[in-house]
Amino acid sequence: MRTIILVFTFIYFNSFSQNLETKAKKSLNLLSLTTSYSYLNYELFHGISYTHHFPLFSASFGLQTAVKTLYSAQKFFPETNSSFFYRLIDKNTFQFGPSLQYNMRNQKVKVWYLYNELLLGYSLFYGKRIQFFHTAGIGPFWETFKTDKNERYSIRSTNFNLKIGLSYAF
Amino acid sequence: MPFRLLYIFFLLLLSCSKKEDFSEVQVIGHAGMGLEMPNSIFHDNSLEAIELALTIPGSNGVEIDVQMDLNGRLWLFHDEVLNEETNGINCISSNTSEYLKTLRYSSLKQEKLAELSQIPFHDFKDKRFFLDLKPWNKCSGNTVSIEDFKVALTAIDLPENCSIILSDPSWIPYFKDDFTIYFASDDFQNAKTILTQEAMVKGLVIRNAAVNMAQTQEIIKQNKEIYLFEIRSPKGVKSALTKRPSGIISDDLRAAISAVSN
Repeated sequence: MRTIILVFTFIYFNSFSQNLETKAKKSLNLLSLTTSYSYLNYELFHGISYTHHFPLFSASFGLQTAVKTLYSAQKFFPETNSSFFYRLIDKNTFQFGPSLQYNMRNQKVKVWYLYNELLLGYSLFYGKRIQFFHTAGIGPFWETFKTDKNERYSIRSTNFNLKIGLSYAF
Repeated sequence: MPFRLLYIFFLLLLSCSKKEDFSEVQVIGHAGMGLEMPNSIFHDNSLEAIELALTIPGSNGVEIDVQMDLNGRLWLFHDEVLNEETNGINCISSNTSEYLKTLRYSSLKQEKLAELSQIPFHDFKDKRFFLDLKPWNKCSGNTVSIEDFKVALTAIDLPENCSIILSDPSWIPYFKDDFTIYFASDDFQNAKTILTQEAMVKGLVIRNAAVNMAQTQEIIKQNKEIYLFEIRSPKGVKSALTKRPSGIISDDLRAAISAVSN
């Protein structure tokens, strides 16, 4: 339990990442360009995402290019993500509710790694065109790669994710 | 227009970064994928963490912590007492094998405590294993029997790619004829003296912050190896790599591989 709290605290205070939900405005579907930074994994994201707002929930789909900014390891890799956000509280400038996210990425570090994660948690947004957001999630995580012996190796684990950041919608 | 300028500036920043070749530096996982890393999938020194660290392309091996129990069996565990990281109590050296077999880490996956003999050494012949021997028994206030430790190690039939790390110079004579030995110390001058006196000691394992580049190269010029540890951040990886050691024992194995294999 102590480790879980530590993980949450560590990521919370160090992570900036992509706003998957972009906007929770009623009946306004938004296309947005995004830039974010994940301190924990030293990754800088640039991408485009589309959010469709239904009466009670929002669905987003995003395509991104990320770059690992670690010293001497600037490597580009793609990521796609999609999410569903149920607007449990939906005020003019504030939305809060449960969310489900799915992220998939390919990353090459000697060999190609495939990462898949499914996160169930909550999201909150504050603001209009420029929004502060915070999302948290927990769920299964899969990592697959080929070993030096060319054998497929796969790991399943449980992953946590907490994000805070700002987004700008066109 | 400002956005275009920003974009061009960003591309320039990326293209101007100088890339260095660190491919000669070995990357070793500290206790598997890293010691006490909050974002690690598996607990340090667990079999799962060690197997993953050995399987990931770009990894050259692992450093693991070895302690001996009351029955003379060897266990992989870093801390002095079991209480914080497992569901057990007291020290490894003050418990029996039967008791330790029942213990699990207090992590999400609750991995079992692993014995040294469980490591599939022969499946990873191209990897290196560094066994950091921890003889101190905090619960009794004494070190364990050096003879018993050696007997326990010998019984496992360790392969040639397996070396031991000793931090007590008085232990070196007991092991130097049968094992490849590395000396661990935070005191560079003292370590240099030990390396000079003990020709059989193959190299030094030292904290990254305890040496500079000149000292690192001084060891290498003596035809000894030097491995740096306590490397937990990108800044740490950068700092360690620029000293050009024989290897780094990293607490973030993926980050280190990424930096070296660029």
